Parts: sequence; structure tokens; C-alpha cells
Amino acid sequence: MGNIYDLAILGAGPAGYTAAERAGQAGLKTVLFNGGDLGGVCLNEGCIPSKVMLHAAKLYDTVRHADAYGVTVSDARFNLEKLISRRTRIVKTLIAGVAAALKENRVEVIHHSAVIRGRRDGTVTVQAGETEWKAVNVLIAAGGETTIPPVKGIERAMTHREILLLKEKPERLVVVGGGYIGIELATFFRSIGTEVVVVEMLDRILPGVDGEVALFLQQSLEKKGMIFQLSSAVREIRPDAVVLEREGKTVEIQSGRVLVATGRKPRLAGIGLENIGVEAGVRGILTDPSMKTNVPGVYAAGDVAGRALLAHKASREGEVAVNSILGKRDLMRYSAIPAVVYTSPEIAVVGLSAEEAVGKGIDAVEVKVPLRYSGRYQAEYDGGNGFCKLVAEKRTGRILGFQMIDALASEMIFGLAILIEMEMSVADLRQVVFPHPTVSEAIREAAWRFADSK
Amino acid sequence: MPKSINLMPGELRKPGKIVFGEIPLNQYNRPFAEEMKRIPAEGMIHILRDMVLVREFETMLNEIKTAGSYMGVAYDYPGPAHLGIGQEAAAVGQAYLLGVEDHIFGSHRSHAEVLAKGFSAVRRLDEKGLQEIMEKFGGGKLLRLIPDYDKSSDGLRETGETFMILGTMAEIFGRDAGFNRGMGGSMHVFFPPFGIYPNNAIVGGAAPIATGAALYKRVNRKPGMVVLNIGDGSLACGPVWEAMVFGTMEQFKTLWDQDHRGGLPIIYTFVNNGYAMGGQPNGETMGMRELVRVAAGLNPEMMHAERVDGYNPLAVIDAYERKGCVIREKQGPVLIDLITYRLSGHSPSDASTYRSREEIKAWEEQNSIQAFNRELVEHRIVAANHLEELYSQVREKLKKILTWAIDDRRCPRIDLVSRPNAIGEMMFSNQTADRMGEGEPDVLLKKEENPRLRKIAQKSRSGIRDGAVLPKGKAVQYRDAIFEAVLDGFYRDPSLIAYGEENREWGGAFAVYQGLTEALPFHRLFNSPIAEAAIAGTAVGYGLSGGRVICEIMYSDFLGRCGDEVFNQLAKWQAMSAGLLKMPVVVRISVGSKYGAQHSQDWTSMVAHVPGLKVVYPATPYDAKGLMNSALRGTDPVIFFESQRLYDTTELFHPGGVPEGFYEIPIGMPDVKREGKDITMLTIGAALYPAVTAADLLRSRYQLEAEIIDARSLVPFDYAPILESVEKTGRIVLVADACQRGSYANTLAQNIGEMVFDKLDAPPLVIGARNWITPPYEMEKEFFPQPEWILDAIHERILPLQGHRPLFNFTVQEKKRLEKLGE
Repeated sequence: MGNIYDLAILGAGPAGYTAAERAGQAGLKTVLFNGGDLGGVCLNEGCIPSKVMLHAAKLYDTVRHADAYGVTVSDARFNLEKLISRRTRIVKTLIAGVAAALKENRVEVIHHSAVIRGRRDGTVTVQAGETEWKAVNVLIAAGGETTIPPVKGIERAMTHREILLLKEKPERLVVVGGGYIGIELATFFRSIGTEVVVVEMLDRILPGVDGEVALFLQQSLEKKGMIFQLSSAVREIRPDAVVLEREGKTVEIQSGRVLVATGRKPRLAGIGLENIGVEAGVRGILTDPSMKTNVPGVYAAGDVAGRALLAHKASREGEVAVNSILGKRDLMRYSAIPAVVYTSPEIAVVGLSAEEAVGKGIDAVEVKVPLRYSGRYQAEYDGGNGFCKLVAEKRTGRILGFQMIDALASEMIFGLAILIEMEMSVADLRQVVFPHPTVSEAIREAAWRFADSK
Repeated sequence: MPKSINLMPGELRKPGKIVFGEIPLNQYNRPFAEEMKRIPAEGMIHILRDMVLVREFETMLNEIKTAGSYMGVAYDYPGPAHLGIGQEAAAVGQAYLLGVEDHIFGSHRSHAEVLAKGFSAVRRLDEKGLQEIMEKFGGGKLLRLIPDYDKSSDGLRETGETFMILGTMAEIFGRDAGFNRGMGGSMHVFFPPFGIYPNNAIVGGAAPIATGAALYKRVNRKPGMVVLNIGDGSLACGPVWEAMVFGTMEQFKTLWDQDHRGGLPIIYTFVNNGYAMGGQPNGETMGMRELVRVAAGLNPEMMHAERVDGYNPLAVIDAYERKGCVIREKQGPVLIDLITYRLSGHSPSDASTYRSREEIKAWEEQNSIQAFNRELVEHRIVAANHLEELYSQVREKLKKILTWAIDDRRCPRIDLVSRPNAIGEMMFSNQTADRMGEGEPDVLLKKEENPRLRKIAQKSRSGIRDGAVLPKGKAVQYRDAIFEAVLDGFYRDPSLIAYGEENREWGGAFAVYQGLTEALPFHRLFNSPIAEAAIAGTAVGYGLSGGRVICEIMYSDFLGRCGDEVFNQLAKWQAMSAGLLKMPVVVRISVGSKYGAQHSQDWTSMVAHVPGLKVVYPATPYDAKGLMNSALRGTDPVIFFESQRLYDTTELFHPGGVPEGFYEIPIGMPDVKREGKDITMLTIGAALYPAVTAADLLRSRYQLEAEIIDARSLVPFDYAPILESVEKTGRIVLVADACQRGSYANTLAQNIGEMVFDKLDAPPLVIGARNWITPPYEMEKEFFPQPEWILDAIHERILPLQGHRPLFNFTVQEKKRLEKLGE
């Protein structure tokens, strides 16, 4: 086969399709292999569908509690069927959008998953179905998969994929895992009236998120009737009961539908990594900052490359890989990857928490500002108690991290990511003009409350 | 190998048997009264005095080590002290008849031998000679510490004795005024002007060196003999055996010409105190029981071996007198098993857990000093209270000298504050000398009649004619160029000799020496046994005795066989002598190829790691000749690497090719082989050639101009041309055939990175051989750096090459992975 591609991409999730678009745009002869629908987990069964649902739940909450704002709504009802059809429509539209963008950038899309077969004379052979393809560069963007803990009766549990297929509201839901996927789905079902119990092995939810923020969310959700079983390990899932072990004691809680959301991991099997000796650990394929693996011309991006398993990290990694292939110097940095939890109230964080900064030996301080500082917050979030925290290096004021809970934190967080990426300081932030009145003014206020080093 | 020696089946297959003769054990039994006729009373008194001085000197050190003071003078000495308490009679007896021209070499436990030899030399030197040595040494630094310097006849000898003790003591305590400016210390103290040559902290380390010193005396017809003192434990060391095999080579007595014929003038003395640190060679760690037995295996004369009672100084004198005659009759070498016993431990920290109280007590009762004194008293040579008075006089003297030696103001250490690199300055002598010996060089032919030179004269001096590369046979090759330099050396320096395996009739394993056999007598060019430790070690001895020598190690992989001799001895003695010794030794080592794992590794980096060696690795005939000329005019040890892949290479770089006449290339100066502006390639040795091909590919495929610089030398190394190049190109790749991990190229890369970090667009990149064994020749392209590797590495790590398809793996991740696995 004399037809040699500049780049073959395995997987069309955010890493794969973004990289494919960029590569095609730059003129690389690119082929993209994908087994299922374009868009990967994020678009089809993750970020996007869950956002459709969480927004509906939020809306439902809002109208039911609109009385405080002087708006009385009666007979608010939740229509799951309608929601599901809206979700399906949105996902389809977005998939079509991805396909159009790929086409526009002259990316050849093969709707079949591919396996790497070998590497010889500077080209890699990949096989999709019965056909072999040759490419000088390969980007592995094969994604990730749900971790299934070895628990007796786990086959009774659903993952995020199956729970989206539920046509009816469950009466009772046990969510195993207090990470962002579990908590988001728990939030949705609690909002529509399901009795929800969250079981988490640690003594807190949302590991990796600032403790105060996570606790605030937990308390907010408890007020809405969500039940948390922390420091509890699931030992068995029975039809009648979920058996937990807490502080060495066995506790049985009433069962119901069970969602397992104990985390995700890179998908390493079935790609043919072993055929060319791509080095991978349990946390994914190992790459250097230009996303190169240990095999010349072979790159990895997205969940398969580990670190934070987030779509926006994946797409950026895909871009870095393409730039490296193009000979443009571009290095991946992980210090300002935002993370959002789309609960109500919602959480957005970026960079280091004060705790993490201190753990790294940085002399850091955090400045906490209640969102009530903002007039708009008082206007629009009745009784709201959210806050934001700015973390900066004590001596220099260099901004290291930021956490916010409530309001449209997710839409504001990119600004903080910029500040961290640009290595800006509190003094720089003070010079930025913020629109008034907005909730974001709390951020600016935090900069002014930072005690300058004398 | 000489055709004159025939291996005939009739002789070799003939039945028969060997009958060994007798080896005498402690046969001395001359009555004291008779000795009195041979040794004057004054001599007897000197023997006693020297034994007491030695005993008390060691006792002083022991007290300082264990109690922190001697005679009320406090001193903290953390260094080594391998004491010879109990071994005085052996040392003093041995030294008694030795002349200044007789050179001793010793071990870590040689204070006794050093002092005894020094005292003997002080008595034997004429007054003027002694005075001159003392006044000249260190610019008079040591002598000035002796306030009561008395130039009268008696006073001079007294001062000489004090000078000897103070020089030794100051050396042990690491003082600038010491015999070796403190760089030798307890285990190495020596003083050539008194005929005392290096003692060695490596067990048996002095054996090949002393053999080389004896070779120097034989070749250059110098007076005197060499007395080696090593312990009984050293008999198990390979280099000791190799040295004795080398020392007993039959060719000395048969093949060498009349003027140089004869056994080597050396007495291999095994100072047999029964313990090899804690192990017992006799009965435990060896099986020969009487070590003297080994002599029967070395030559038909059984090395004139004897066991001598080292607890009776007169028995020892008798033995060395008789063996001295054997040496003078050119019937050496001799082996002496000198029985003695150390009453002290291996060192002051030794609790003697390995020996019984009865044994120590029995030897204490044998006290050689008391016993000898009894004879002297009995024969009215000394008064009854003489010994007691002698001890107290000696103690006072030592106490006085101790206070001088430890006086930090008057007798300080080397001043590294005002001269921070003072030790660095000792690493090399950095001198040039056309010749190390006097007279006309012994040769068999006029130089211009040399058959090889005549053949070379038919060839083009350059590998290129009219822009085209000539066939290899038509131009001067790398091996011819080295030959020319070596031949010049032989006609310039009468002291120059060369040896190694297959060096003579064969012409060297790689034909570098073809044409030398016709030109040189045996004593200037000979075959050695396959004994790398002896080859390198004897060269050290030959060099430090004052001669110039080229020895050959056939493959760099064989360096392991002479690791100590190259790394510890050759490299270190110039600095350890603080300038007293020079080391004009060139070690030719070929870097192999084609012969697999144990014959094809590039070990240049290991040698470059050890301070004290100059290391060169020329890649072209022009450089090879120029560097060999420099090596053969210098006074420093030069490890001269040659590539087996390059022996037939012709000169393709230097305009005009290899000059016929003499020229030198300074050691340490890299050479720009091709100019370019985009990337610098710094190569070591044979790696020049793949780099040239890579540069051609970079030009034709990617329009990049590479500048190629050939390191030529590893140590010393002038970075200036490299930095100048990198300032221009901003990128550098280093290519060497050494396995990449630990390669000297990494040192170069690191230094370049530090020196011009701001000028670099990418980190310096090192390409070496894989960290594997060298595979079979057919697979060497997977092992040694190839042109494509260089392109791949540049693409992956320095500068992405548009459309380049790497064939080899130079990703950072792969390097991390392999390093993690040690692959």
C-alpha cells in the first residue's frame, strides 16, 4: 500500500477529533479511526448529555423555589421523557457538527476502531477491519473506561452509560463513589425526587477539590435531602441491601438502583500498544510534554494518556501533539487545567488549593470572599452562601489557584486559568476592570483583600 | 614467536620428568664471632640503632593513633598507619648493604624498609652528595625545619638521619615539607634520591612496577638492582604472578644481544609476616605452605629462592649479599621469602581477634632487637646499658622531630588557599623532552633503509588526489602514520622501548609495527607474555625510573586486566610524588570491532574518568601521527586509543595529507573537520565518519549545514573551538562509540551546556552506543552510532526535520524507560 498518511488518529473523542481538525487544517494528510459515534464518551454519554439533564434539574429547582423572588409557580412537573428526547437531539446535532468540521478539514474518517500492527522503516501500520493503513505519525486517543471495583454483586449496578437509558425515575438510588460523576448524577436524581444515598470510601466527597468547597457542597446537598455514607466501602450489592463496611463494622443500607461511579481509567487494551512497544503504566500511556510516547512518531492524548481525565485536557493535548508533529514547539502544561462540577450549587476550580500549595512546600495564602459581596449575587441567588477563594504565593502574590462554589462559577473559571497560565500576580489582577454588577467582582475583591508582603 | 625457537614434536612429546632442586629454608648459621670479622663494630652499632629507630618510630605512630600523643606531645592523626613493629630486623638487614643506586619498592607496610634504606643511604652517600640532596630537595624546605643543621662530617650524617625521619613523618602527616608534599602519605612515602621508590597501597601493586624498574636498569645498563618488598598475602594477586612471569622471561638471557643480555636485576622479596590483613596464606587462604615454593614454577633456576630468617638482621644481610652476587652475575631474578612477624596489628584499630595470645607472646620473646643487643653486649661491642640509653636518646630525638613535623606554622600542609589548584598542577608534568636517555639509540638499520618506510614512500601522502578519493592501498594509512611517529621516536630517544603482545615479529596485532623488527634490537622491541597487568605495570616502572616506553594493550576490553596498573599506578604516581617522578609512558590501546562483546567495546570514557592520564583518540592519519609525536615527546602518561576500524583509513581532511616530516599536534586541541552554520557535531574517535555521512544527509535532505569537530583528545580538552561553533549554530550533538551511559561525551555535553546555556536552542545531545554488550559484527549497526541515528536524534530532540521518518528510537520517553530498566 503506497498510500502513506502523515497522521493516523485512533479515537474520535475530544482529543482525537480536535487533533484531527487541527491536523487537517494544517495540511497533514490525516485519517481518523473511530468505533462508535464521533465525539467519544464526553459527547455521547458523559459531559454533554449530563449537562442537558442537570440544567433541567436546576430549572426545576428554580421554578419550585421561585417564590422567594416574587414569582409563584404552581404545578411544576418534571417530564423525563421530554428531557431524554431533547438530550438525544442535542447530542445528534453536536455529532453532526463534529463530522462537518472533520469533513471541512479534509480528515478521512474510518468508522471502525483500529489496532496498531507494527512499525517499520519509519511508518506505523494500523489495521481497521481487514484493511491496513500506513502513517508516519500516530496519535493514540483511545479514551478511557469506567473502573469497576471488584465487589460481589457489582453486576447489579449501572454505570453512567446505563443510567442515562433509564426511562423512569428510580425511587431510590445508591451512588457508589463520591467523585464528580457520581455527585452530578446524584444531584440530578435528587432534584427530580429520587431518594439518593452516596457511598464514598473517603471521609469526604470530591477528592482533589478543596476540602472546604467540597464540604460546602455536601452540606448543600444534604439540605436537599441527599444522604452521605462517608468512610464506607461497599462490600456487596444485594437486591435487598447494599452492604457497607465502615470503621471495621458491617452496615447494611436499603438497596435500590445502584450507580457505580468510582472513577475512570485509561483504556489500554485492544489498541496494539504491545505491537510497537508503547510504554504504558496503570495511569496511562507515558508521554513527554510534547505528547510523544517512547516510540518515534507515536503520540498519545486524552484519557489514554492519563493525568486528569477531562475532555478539555484531552483536546489541548491533541493540539500539542499535532503541533509537535508539525515541528512547532508546543509543550503541555498541567498547572491550569480547570475542573467543574455541574451541581447546584456548581463548583469550579483551577490550579492549586491552599492545602496543595503548602503540600508542595510553597508559602501560599488563600483569600476567601463570600459571593454575597456581589450585589448581583444577592439579587439572583436568594439566601445564597457561596464563596470563592484565591490562592497566591505569599511573598510575590503570584496566583496559584482559585476555587468557587455557586453562581456561574464554571463560566468564570477560564479567566483564572489565564491568570495562572500567564503567571500573573494579585497586583496584575487588581488592574483588571470587571463589569459591575457581576458575581465575578468577588474575584477582584479577593485580590484586594490579599495582604501584600511588605 | 621467534623463528629461532622451534617447537619440535620430538622434543615436546618425549617422555621424561622434571626433578626440582632444593630450596633452602633458613640455612644461615654463621657464628657471631665470624660475623664480627665481616661487619665492623660500627656497622653492628648502626644496625642496632636503626632497628631501634624504626621500632620507636612505629611505636610513636601507634601511640599517636591509640592515645593521641607521644612523649607528652599531643597530635591527632586520622590517616592510615600500617605498622611494622616486629619487622625491624628484616628491614634493617636488607638495607644494610644496599647502595643508593639500588632501588627499593614497597607496600603499604613499608615505613620500616623506607627508614632503614634511608639511614643506609645517608651513611653511604658522599658528604657532598648528601648535602646537595638535602639542600636541593623542595628548595631546602625540609632542611630548613631542622634548626641544628650541622655541616661537619658527623653532623651531616646526624642531620641526614634527622632529615630522613622528618621527611617521612611530615609526609605521613600530609605536610608540604614531606617527601611527597603530603600527597603520598603513610602508605606511599618514598624518596628517590635515597633509592627509595614508591610503596604501594594496592597489595602487590609494586610488583610489576619494580619489574619495570629492573627492566629499565637492564635495557639502559644502569648500575644497581631493584629490591621489591611485598607481603606474603600479595602472592595471590594476579599482577604479582604476572610480574614474576614477565621478570623471568627467558628471552632476557637468550635472545637479547650480548650487551643487554641477562636476567632482570630484581629481588622479589616477600616480607612474610604470616598475615594477609587477617587471613593466613599459610594454612588457610593459600595452599603452598612455604610460599618460596612458587619459585620452582617460574624458571629452572627456581629464582635462586630461599627462605630467610628475618628476625636475625645478620641472616638477612648474608642473604642479600649472596643474592646481590647472583644479580650482578645477571642470573636474576631472585625470590626471597623473608620470614618476619608483625607484633602490631594490621593497623591500630586491629583487635587481633584472628591470632592467639600464645603466638604473639612467642614472637615477643623472640624480640630481634633484644636478641641482637645481647650479642653486642656479649661481644663487648656495646655496654650493658647501651640499649636503654639508645632508646631514651631515640625517644627524645623523635619527640623533637615530631614537634617540628606537626608545627602548623612552620610545617604546614600545601597551601590551597593562596594556591587553590596546587594539587591540580601536580597532575601532569607537562614537559617536553626529545630524549630521556643519553647516547646514540641502539638500532639495526639506518632509518632511511627501513623497508616499511620504503613501501610507504610509494604511496600518496593524501587520501585524495584531484578531488577524488584514492583506493586505500594507494595512500598513507592510519597505521602507517602511527608507525612513522613511533619510528621517529626510536631514532630520537635511546631510552625508548616498546613491547606488548605480538609486538615483534608479528608487527603488532594490527600491523602498526611492521618494519620495526628489522630496525630494532630485542631490548628495544620485544614480545611480552599475555599479561596486561605486567605490560602496563612494568611500563609504569620503566617510566618512573627515567625511561620512555610505549606499551600496547591489544583491545580496550583488556583494560580490565590492567585496571590497577592504568587507573591507580600510571595515572597517579606523578601527582603522588608531587613532581619527583615523571611518567613518559604511552599506552597504545586499540578499540575493537567485529569480535563481539569482549573485544569491541569503546572504553575511552573509563580512562578519561581517572585524573592523571592524558587521553587521545585520533580518527585520521594526520592526527594520529601528530598526536603520537606529541605523546612521544611529552613526559606524561598518554593513553593512545586507536580504532581498529580506522587502521586502513587514509587522510581525507588535512590538505596535503600526512606530512613526511616531524610535526606535533598539541594534545587537547579539537579540530574543525568541516565548517557549517546550522548544527555542531562533536565526535570522539571513529564516530567522526558516521557524523560526516550524517552531515551529507542533512545537507542533501534538509538543506542544513553541519559543522563537524573532531575531539581528537579527551583529556586535556580545549572547549574554545566548540563554544565558538555552538555560539554560531545554537545546537550541538555529540557522537561517540562508547556506550552512552557514562560516556565521556556526556561530560563534554554537560560542560558545554553549562558554559553556553544561553546560546543553545536545545540541550546538547549525546549519541553513544547502546547500553548493551557489543553484538556480533553483522549486528553492529544496531549498536554503534550510525548516520541515520544522528538524523533521527536531531529530529526527535533538537530540531524537527520536515517530513523525517525516524528509523531509530531517540524519544525522551524511551530513554527514560530504558534507563529505568538499566538497558
